[in-house]
Amino acid sequence: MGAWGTALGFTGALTRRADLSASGERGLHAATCFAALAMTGLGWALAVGDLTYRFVATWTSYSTPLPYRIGAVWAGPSGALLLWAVALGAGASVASATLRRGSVLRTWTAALLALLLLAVLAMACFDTNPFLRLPFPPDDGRGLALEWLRPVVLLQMPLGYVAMALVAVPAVMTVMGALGSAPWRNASRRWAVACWGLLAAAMLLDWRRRYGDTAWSEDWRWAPVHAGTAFAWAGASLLVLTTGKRWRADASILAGFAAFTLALTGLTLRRAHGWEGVHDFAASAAGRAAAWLALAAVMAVAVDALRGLRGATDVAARAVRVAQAATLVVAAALVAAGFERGGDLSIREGERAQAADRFGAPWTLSLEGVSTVGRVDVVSNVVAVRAAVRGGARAYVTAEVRSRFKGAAQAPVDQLQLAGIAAGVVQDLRVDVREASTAAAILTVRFVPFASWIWLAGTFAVLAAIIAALAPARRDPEEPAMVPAIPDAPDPWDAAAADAPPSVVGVA
Amino acid sequence: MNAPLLIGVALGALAVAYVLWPLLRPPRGQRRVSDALARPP
Repeated sequence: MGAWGTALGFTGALTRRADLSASGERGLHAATCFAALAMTGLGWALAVGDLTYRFVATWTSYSTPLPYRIGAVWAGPSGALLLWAVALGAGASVASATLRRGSVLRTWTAALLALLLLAVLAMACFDTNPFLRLPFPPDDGRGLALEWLRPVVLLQMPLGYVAMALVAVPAVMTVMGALGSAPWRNASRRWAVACWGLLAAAMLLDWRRRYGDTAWSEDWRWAPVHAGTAFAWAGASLLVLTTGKRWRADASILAGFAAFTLALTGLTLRRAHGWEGVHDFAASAAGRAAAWLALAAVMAVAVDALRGLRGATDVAARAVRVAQAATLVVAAALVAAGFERGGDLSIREGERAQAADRFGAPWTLSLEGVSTVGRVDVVSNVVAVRAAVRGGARAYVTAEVRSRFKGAAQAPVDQLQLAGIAAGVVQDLRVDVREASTAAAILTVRFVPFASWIWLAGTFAVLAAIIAALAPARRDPEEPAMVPAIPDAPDPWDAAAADAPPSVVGVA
Repeated sequence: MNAPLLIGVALGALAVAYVLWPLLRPPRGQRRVSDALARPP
C-alpha cells in the first residue's frame, strides 16, 4: 500500500490527475492502518508473552508487568520502526486530508510523505523485522533493563518517537511549498508549531526521566541530546522561524531539509538507545562551549521574537509569543540549575547531619531508616531521610537502589539508583544513595536551584504551542481568498444525486 | 486455511477496493447515459 501510495501519488502529481492523487492518498491511509495493525499485533504478542518471537524473547520476561510489556513495543529498534511508521503515516494522512483538495501542495506533500513511509516500512520488512521467529522458544525472555521499568519511561519513549516522526510533515510541506507557488505558510506553520510543542513535551519528559536517575545526577540536563529530541527540536524551531518570517524560497527549502535531517538524526539516536558519548562530551570543554552556545542562541531567538509582542494580534501569534517567553524561562532555569551545591554525608540511623544550601540556610538531615523490599527478582533498598531548616520540618525524601538478581547469583545483574527529590519553588533537595547498609548510609545531598521552573515553564510552553497550533487560521495576505472557481457538479454515483431529478428536466 | 490468514486476505481485498475506488468511478460531473439520451437535440 505504501508503494501504491508513492507510485500513484507521484504519477498523479506529475500528470496533475486528481483521480491518481486521490488513489495515492488512499494508499497512504491504508498503509497507515496496516502499520497500526502490525503494531497492535506486536503489542498483543508482547502482552501475552509469545516467546516464539525473537523480539518478545529479547525485550520481555515473565516477571515484566503488563504496562511495560506493551511499552516494550518501542524498546527494540525494529519495534520502534513500527511506531515511527504509524506516527508518520497518521501525520501524513491527516496532513494530506486537511490541505485544500486538488491543490498542488497537497498532491506533492502526500506523494513525498508516502515515499518516506514506504522507506520506513521497507526497513521494517527487510532490514530489522520485529516478527522474526526463533527456531525454538526459550524458557523465559531476557526482559527489559531496570531503567525502563519506570512510569515516566512509558510516556517519554513513545512521545519522543511520535514527535520526531511528525517533524517530517512540516519539513516536507515547507520544501514543497517553497518550491511551488501555492500558498503554504499557514498550513506548514500550524504543523511546525504542533511538532515544536510535542517535541518540547518530549524533552521535558527526557529531563524528568534523567533528573530522577542517580547515574545522570551530574549531566541530566543533557538528556534530550542523548535521547535525540534536542536535535529534532532544533529542527522544529527552525521550521517555526521559517514559516513565521518571510524568508527567501531557497532559504526556506534549505531550512526544510535541515529540519528533516535533524529529526532523522534524533530518531536514529533514539533507536540506538541514545548517544552514549554524551557523558564524555558534557564533561569536555567543547561540550560546555556547545551547551552555552546553544542556550545563548535559544535565548537570543526567544528575546528577538518577544520584541514583536505588540504586533501580535491574533490568538495563534500571541500563544507562540507565550511559548517563546516560557522557553526563555526554561533556558534560564537550566542555567540556574547548574549552580547546585552539595556534598557527601555519612550518616547512621537516628543521627543528624548538617548541610548548607546555596543561600546559606542550614539544613538538618536525619536518616529515618533503610528498608529492603523485594518483588520477584528485583530487590529495592529504600533510604528515608527527613530534612528540616532552622528547626522547621521541610521534607521527607526516599532514595532507592533497585537491583535485579538472576538465579542463585549473589551479585546483581542490573542496578538502577533513583534519587529522592523534594521539589521547592526556589530549590529542590535531592538525595542520592552512594552506599547503604542496614542502619547506615553514605548519601550525596544536593540543592538544585530553580529546577521546578523547568517543569512549570516547560508545561506552559507546550500548552501555548498546542493552542497556537489549533487556533483558528489567520488569512495569509499572500493567500488568495478561497472562492470556489467551479461549483462542484453533482456526483452521479451519489445516492442523493441519483434520487434528484436530472437537471435536463428543468431545462425542458 | 487458518483464521488470521483469512482475516488478512479479507482486509487486503478491502484495502485494494478502497485504493482503486477513485480510479474506477467515473469522473465528477459525467452524466449518465440515460441523461445524455434524454437531452433534446
